Amino acid sequence: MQAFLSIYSVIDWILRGVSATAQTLAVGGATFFLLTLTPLKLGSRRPALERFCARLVFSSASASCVVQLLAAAALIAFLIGSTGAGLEIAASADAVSFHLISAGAALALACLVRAAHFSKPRALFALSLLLVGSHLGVTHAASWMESSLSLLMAEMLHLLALATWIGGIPYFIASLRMIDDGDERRCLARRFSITSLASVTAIVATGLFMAVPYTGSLERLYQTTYGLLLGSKVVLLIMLLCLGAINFLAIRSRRRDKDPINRVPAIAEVEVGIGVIAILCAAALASSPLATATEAARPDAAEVSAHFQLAWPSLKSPAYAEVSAAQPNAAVTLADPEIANRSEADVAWSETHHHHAALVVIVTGLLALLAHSRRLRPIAQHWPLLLLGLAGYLVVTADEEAWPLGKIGFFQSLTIPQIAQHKLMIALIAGFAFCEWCVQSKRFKSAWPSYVFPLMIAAAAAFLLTHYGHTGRKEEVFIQISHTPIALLGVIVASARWVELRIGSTTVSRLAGVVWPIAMVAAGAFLLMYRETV
Amino acid sequence: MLKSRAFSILLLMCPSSQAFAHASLLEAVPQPGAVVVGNNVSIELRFDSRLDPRFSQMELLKSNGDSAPLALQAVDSQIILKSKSSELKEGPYVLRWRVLSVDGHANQGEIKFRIGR
Repeated sequence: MQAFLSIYSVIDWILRGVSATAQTLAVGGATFFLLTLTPLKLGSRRPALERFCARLVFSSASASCVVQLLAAAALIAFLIGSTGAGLEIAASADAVSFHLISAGAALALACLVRAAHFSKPRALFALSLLLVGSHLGVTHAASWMESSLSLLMAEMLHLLALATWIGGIPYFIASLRMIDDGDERRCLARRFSITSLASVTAIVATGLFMAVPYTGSLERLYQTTYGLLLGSKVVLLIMLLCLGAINFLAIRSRRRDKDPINRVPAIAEVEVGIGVIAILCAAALASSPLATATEAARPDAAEVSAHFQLAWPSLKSPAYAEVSAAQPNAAVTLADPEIANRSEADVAWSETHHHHAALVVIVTGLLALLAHSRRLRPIAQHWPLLLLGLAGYLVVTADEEAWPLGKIGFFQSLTIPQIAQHKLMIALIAGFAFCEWCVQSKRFKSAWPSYVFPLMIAAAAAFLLTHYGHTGRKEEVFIQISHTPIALLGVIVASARWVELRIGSTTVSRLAGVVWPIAMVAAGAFLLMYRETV
Repeated sequence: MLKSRAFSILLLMCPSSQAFAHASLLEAVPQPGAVVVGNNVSIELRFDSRLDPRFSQMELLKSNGDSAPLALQAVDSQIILKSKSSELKEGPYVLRWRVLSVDGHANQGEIKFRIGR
C-alpha cells in the first residue's frame, strides 16, 4: 500500500491524460458527425463512413469509461490508505463522484452509438455535453477559491472546442481516405476547416480568460512550473495553427494537376500527435499548483538571466577521482540525488557530459542534413550510429555513483528511481538509434520501422515537457526552463520526420526533410547551454 | 526479489522529485519558524483551492516523536482549515497537514514552530 501511495500522483496524472485523450476522441466524433458530416450531401460512401465513425466513437467512449473507473478506484484506494477513511466515505469524495459520472456518460455514449449509430443526434449531443461537463469536476475551475460559474463555463467551452478540433481530426482523416469523389472531399475539408477555425477561436478566447486569474502576471509564465507548462501549450497551439494553415491553403488551392489535398491527411496526423502532447500538458497543468499560488519557489528575472547567461561550454571533465561519488568516505545520497549536497566537481562533471552529448546531437543533425546529398549519403546515412555511441557514453557517465564507474551495482541501481529513469531513456535511445540505422541503410523491407524514430522522439518530448515535480524548489524551475525548448524542438523533429515519411516526394516533404535535422542541431545547441546549480 | 524488481519498473515511471501538487498553502498561522508565546496555539491554514473537508487532516508532532491529531473547527470558507491546541509545553513542534481539493488532488506539508515563553 505504501508503494501505491508514493506513486499515486503519477498514476493519477497518467489516468487523467489517457481519459482526457479518449474523451476528446469520443466527443470529437460526435461533433464531427453533427457539425461536418450531417450538413453534407455525400454519395454512396456515407453509410460506410458513418459506420467507421460510430466504431471509433464506441471504442474511445468505452476506453474513457474504463479509465474513469480506474481513476475513481485509484482515488478511493488512495483516500483509504492515506486518511484511514472507510470505503463508503472514500467513495463519496467529490472527485470520485465526478469520475463516476464521467464513466456513466461515456458508457451511455458508447451504448448509444453501438445501438443506434448516429440516428439520435439530440441524445448524442446531450451525452457529449454530459461527458465534458462531468470532467469539469476534476479541473482547476471546480476547485477555484470561490465558486465561479464563468470559469466553469470557460473550461467547458475550452474542452468542447478542443474535442471538436483535435478530436475531430482522426474522423476527418478517415473521411478523406474513404471518399473518392474530389468535389465531395473538398466540400468536407472546407466544412471541417470552418469548424476548426471556430474551435481555435474559442480555445484561444477561453484559454486567455482562464489564464488571467490562474497565472496572475506575465512574469509567472517563466517563474513557475504552471506558467512554463502553459507556455509550452501555447507553443504547441502555434505549431498546430501553422499545420492547420498549411492544410487550409491546400484545401483552398485551385490546382488540380497535383492535388494538394492529398497531403492533408499526413499533416492532419501530425496535428493529432501534437494535440495529444498538448492534452498531456493539460493533464500536468491540472496537477500543478496555480502560478498565482506559487510564491516561495519563484526565481526573479535577475536569477533566471544569471543562471542562463551565455558562456562557453565546458568540454574538459574533472577527473572521476574528484567527484563525490568516488570519495571513499563520501555519503552518497541515493534517495534523492537532486537534493544531495553537490560539490563543484559534481556539477562540472554533469555539465561537461551534458555538453559532450550536445555536441554529438549537433553533429548527428548535421550528418542527417548532409545525407540529402547524393555524394555524401554513403557516409552521412550512418548518422544514427552516433546516437548509438551516445547511448554507450551515457551508460558510463550519466550516473557516476552507479555501475560501471560507481560503487552501486547495475541491478541495485535499477531500484533507484532517477538512475532507473536514465537507464530506461538510454535503452530507448539505443533501441531507436539502431532501428533508424537499419532504416537509413535500407535493411528493412517493411515501412513501419521508419516510424519508430519520430514516435520515440515524440514520446520522449512529451515526457520531457510534463515530468516535473512540484517540490517548491527554484532548481525545478531552472531545470524546466532548460528542458522545455529542447522538448519543443523534439516535437518539431518528430513532426517534420513524420511528414517527410508520409508524403511522397514533394516540395513539402523535401522541406520537412531539411527542417528536422536543423531542429535537431538547435536542440543540441540548447543542450550546450545546460547549466546546473551547486 | 521479483516483487522488488516489479516495483522498480513501476518507479521508472515516477519522476523522483514528484510530490503532491495542490491545493497549495497560501498562508499559515503560525508561520513556519514562528515562536508562539503561551501554552495555547490557534492554527489557521489558507489554501489556493477549495477543500473536501472530510479528507483534510492536521496533526501536531512533539519533539519526543509523539503525535496528536487535531480536531478541525467548522469554518465558513472551504479554503481554510482551522484548529487549536492547548496546554503545550515549551519546545519545538511540527504541524503536519494533509488535504484533498475538490478536484481530487491531494497535497501535504508541514510547518515547524516553537512554543516559547
